[in-house]
Amino acid sequence: MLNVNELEVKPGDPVLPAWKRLLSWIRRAKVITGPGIRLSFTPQGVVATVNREETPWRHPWRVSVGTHAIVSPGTVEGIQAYMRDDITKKMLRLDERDEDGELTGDGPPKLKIDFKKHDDEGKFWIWLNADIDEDLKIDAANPEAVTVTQERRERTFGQPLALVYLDESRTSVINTFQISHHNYKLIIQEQETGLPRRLFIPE
Amino acid sequence: MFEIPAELWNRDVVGTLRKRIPFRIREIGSRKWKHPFKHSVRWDGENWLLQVNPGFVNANPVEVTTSGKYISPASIIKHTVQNDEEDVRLPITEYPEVQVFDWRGIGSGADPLVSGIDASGSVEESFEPVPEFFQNQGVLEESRNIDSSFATGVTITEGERPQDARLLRAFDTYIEVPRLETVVDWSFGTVLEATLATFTISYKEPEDDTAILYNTAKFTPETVPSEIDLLAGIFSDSQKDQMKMATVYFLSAPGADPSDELDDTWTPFVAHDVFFNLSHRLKTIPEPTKVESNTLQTGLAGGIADPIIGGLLAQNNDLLNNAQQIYNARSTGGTFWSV
Repeated sequence: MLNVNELEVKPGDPVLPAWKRLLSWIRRAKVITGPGIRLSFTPQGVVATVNREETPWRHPWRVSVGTHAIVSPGTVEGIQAYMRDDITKKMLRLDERDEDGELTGDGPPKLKIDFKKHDDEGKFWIWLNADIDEDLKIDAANPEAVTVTQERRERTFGQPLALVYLDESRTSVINTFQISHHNYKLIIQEQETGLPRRLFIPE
Repeated sequence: MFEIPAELWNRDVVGTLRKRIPFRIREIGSRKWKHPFKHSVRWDGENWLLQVNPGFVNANPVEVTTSGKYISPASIIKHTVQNDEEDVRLPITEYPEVQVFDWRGIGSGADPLVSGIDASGSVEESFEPVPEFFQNQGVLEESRNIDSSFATGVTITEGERPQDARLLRAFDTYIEVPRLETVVDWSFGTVLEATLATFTISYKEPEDDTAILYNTAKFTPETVPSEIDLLAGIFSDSQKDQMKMATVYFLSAPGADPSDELDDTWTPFVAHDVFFNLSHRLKTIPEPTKVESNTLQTGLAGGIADPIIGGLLAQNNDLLNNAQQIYNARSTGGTFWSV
């Protein structure tokens, strides 16, 4: 990078060394256009306009919904979530791995969307559920302990991942709003009455 | 051989480079991730309008009230809005815009946050500080002097403002979530059992628990009454929890006057307080229909129980502690956290 101060010449000293430094810097500092970059040469200087294709943020629980829902991997207390896959009809891990942690190569589980399962306004939720045992802990060995499901209304337990709006005919998705962006820790609070409540806190 | 004098080189070559370097870089068409509750403001030719990126509290979108003219055609049909001026409340997932009506001045030309007169008649004022970012942009702190006494009266001397000084205005946004209210009712024993005071704690459910977004000149959280005041029934539970979302600042062009309109010559800046969707939960989940009676030995003489509960509690520390513990375990104030 050019330090302009280094080009200053003391009165009486030759300019040539500074000139050579400037030429060297110009050769190195040539601006080359690439994809999405445009150079405009104006009387005030060169304007480089950069239109970058941003890499989307690949956060946990990213939900995309069409006829099926695909949810990017996420964890609760470090435990991978499962979802019922419409093709194999099995509960599969969102991170496309088997119980031994090996990649299956089958792709992510695809949850079949039930277009009759929505509220009066034509919306439904993709919901994260975490079941706890008598010790108030998640049973990590149980593939049904941390699951992702479609719900027609808010559930008392669990965490909404995304809200999905259907069109007026209730046959296709018009909008999906992501609600959750983090992996979670689970805090269990026992209540005076009823079941303990489950609070999902970002990790 | 022709030689360039050092002075000429320094002035024409180095001087020009100083003006041109570094390059100015402008970014356009960004597809950056926009976080929930991201605020945008725009000038529509007459007003500043605020739009907030969809955001959720628990599983539901926050809602906002605005005029019919600031919502989409689809929303007009969906909410059967009759005309442009009709107020309509709708979820921010429908991307409504809201007119900015109210704002405050900060720094030069601002009204004081607090002012008071001491025993000698001196007037004390305090002002909202100018954030450092805007100080660096040329906004000055308000610096007026007030000379006052009961004998001489009040003289206000406005601080000097450079001609190119800039002004700052701002408004805040916040959400409010209605929640279960904790209600305390007291009763006293008859003459025969006058040493007994009974208070019952019950709960009142809100009619609508939707989170609503508001904008205001300055967000001031509702004062939370002390537990003793709540317990004594001097103040009632607020029935709602609030969360500040952002401050939107408007920076004037140099040389603006405090009487200037807030128009498109001002540049908006947003300082967000919240970047993710929110969870909101009550401290406890009581059964809304539950009514509990708690009987306390007041220790007061028969028949003369003080009808003023505050006074009653003040006379007996044990009673106060017991009552406070019971109330605290039953009160329902809520908490927000981001998800």
